Amino acid sequence: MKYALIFLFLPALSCVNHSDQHVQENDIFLEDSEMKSEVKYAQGFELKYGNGYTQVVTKSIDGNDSFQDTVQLNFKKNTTSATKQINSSLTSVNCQSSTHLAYLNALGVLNTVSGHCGIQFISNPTVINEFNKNEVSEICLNESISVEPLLTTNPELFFAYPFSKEEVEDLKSKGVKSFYIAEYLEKSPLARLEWIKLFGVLYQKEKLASDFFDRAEQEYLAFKKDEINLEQDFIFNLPYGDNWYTPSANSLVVKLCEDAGFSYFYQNEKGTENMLHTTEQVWLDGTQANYWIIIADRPAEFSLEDLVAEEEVYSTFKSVKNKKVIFCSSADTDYFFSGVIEPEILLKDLINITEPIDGYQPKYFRLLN
Amino acid sequence: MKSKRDIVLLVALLITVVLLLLLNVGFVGADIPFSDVLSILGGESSVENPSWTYIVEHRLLRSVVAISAGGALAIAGLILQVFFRNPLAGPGVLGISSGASLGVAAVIMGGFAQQGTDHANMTVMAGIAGACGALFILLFISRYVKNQLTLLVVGLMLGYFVSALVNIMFLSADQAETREYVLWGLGSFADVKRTEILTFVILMCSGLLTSMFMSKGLNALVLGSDYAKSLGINTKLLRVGIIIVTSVLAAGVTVYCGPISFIGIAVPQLIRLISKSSNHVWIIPLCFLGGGFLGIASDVIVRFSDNSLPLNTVTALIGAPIIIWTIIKMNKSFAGI
Repeated sequence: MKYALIFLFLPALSCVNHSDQHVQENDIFLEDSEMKSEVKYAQGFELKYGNGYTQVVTKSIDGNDSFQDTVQLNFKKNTTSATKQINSSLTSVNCQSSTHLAYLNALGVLNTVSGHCGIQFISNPTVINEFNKNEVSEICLNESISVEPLLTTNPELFFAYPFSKEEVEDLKSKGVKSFYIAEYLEKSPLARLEWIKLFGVLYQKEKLASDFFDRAEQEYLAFKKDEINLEQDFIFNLPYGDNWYTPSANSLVVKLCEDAGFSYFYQNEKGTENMLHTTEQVWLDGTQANYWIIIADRPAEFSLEDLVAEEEVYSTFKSVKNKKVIFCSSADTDYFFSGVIEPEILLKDLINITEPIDGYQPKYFRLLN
Repeated sequence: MKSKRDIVLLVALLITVVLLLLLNVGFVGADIPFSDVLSILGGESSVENPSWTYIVEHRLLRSVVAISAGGALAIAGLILQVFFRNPLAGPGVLGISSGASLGVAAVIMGGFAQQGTDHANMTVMAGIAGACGALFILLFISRYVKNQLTLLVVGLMLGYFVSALVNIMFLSADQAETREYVLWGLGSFADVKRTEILTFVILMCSGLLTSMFMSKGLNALVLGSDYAKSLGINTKLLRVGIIIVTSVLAAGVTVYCGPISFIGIAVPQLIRLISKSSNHVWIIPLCFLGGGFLGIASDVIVRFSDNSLPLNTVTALIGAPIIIWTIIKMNKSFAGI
């Protein structure tokens, strides 16, 4: 009798689920916004406005690993045959990177995140609180996507990085709507910030996103230096074991420093990927470069003395001798999170070092004492 | 006659090691004129670039570490091969290095490093404790398991078990901790700090000297424990000596330079094959120099590759073929070929 009841109820439960899904997919449509976002700097995404739909296209830049991805937001029924369609407001998304969260947080839609990769590495208290409140699931194990937890969260969209393409393509076959986000490939901090417009479109918060961007852009351009100062040449970061990875001369962080008037020591080295130098080579270069910019997982009270204690040769560096080591603690500041959407503050911090701004309190960068 | 052959071999190895040391210090890496390298080594400080002095010192120190660590691993492997009477025994195979890794992992990722305590010293102590623990477990089991092959399998299983514990810690550690552990696991002779180098070299040399004192016992042990007893060797004391020496040597190297594989197994095989001697008074220093040779040769290759090849990869590329060759040779011996 007990088993008979279970068998009777099972189809009933199944029917309820299917009807819900049906309603979500076909009957609820997005509200067409009058606001049309315009992309000024970003090269990695496009917004295409059609009759009754908006297509959001993300793509590779330059010679980077080739990809193109499209999501279509429908405001009318069955407008085109795009593979990934969104017919209602996003209520559940998964993110592969914490930088995606920075954009969502700025738009006030962090509550839509149901799964994230590497929750244990998040240090921002706002995000931690929100994640705890919403019981956000961990969807990765050792930076690889775990299929089961991801499928369990059943996201409407999974914001993924294109460097794990094979994993993401495999998810597609399991019915997950993934969407490549490659804001880190952009060539300038403003272009990277502009990705907020993409999220604005996806969440129908175009106005909020545009206002956010316009304000930051205005401030950034007001402070941006038109020329780099060759006297302000700099080396970057700290070694990893016996190797010293330095960013490409075309990277975002180098562009930020150049916008602040600094000149990259390795600006003539070509390539779009991080450059690998031996520690010995950088030790030699360190004696020549006037500045040394470090973004590292060190405590807030990290000092020049602590730096030299890590490697005695640093005492021979010109920047150390002249106390021109610029430091950002990734442990103490939110550089890798809010820094993504605050390029104007990063710029002001850097400029404040060479040309102190009256009454300005730096948020990320400071000179090591 | 054999002694003469051993002396020639000893001198040849010594000269090769010194030449490799000069190559590593003077010619690999950033471009510093050799005359300046010699001036710096001679105590001259007024060179063109202030960082040169540091670079040359750093190259010299890492070369010394490479020679000492390679030598220490080879001796630890030699002693364990005699003790277990198995040519494939070694600190890596028998779980001793894994034990040391567990100690290091516990300090780096397991939250055992307390605020205010000396992180480096704690890592060393924990590494040695882990290596001793692994060897004690192995010796305890060896009282009940007499077959050496079975014991070798037990050692391998112990290694896997310890690796599983390390993996559990790895999964629950934060990014900085996992990064530090991964980096340590790749192996490097460059991570011993100037302040630690004296401790490291003393540790390795005392292992060499103590093992030299045990050479008579080891000569007897080659023919079996009962035979050694009949010659008046205190086998219990020898057993304790072997535990301490191999643990300290293997743990010292593992803790400071990472889990370096293959040197401990491959070098004793090669030395026995070339030397043909069974007298450990000769074999021990030969193994030390042989290990030192492999250590510094690996470091030269690592540095020639601009550090793109991790140390463990290089030692594996050199050591694994030697071990395979040994196994084939053993099979031929057993088959009477």
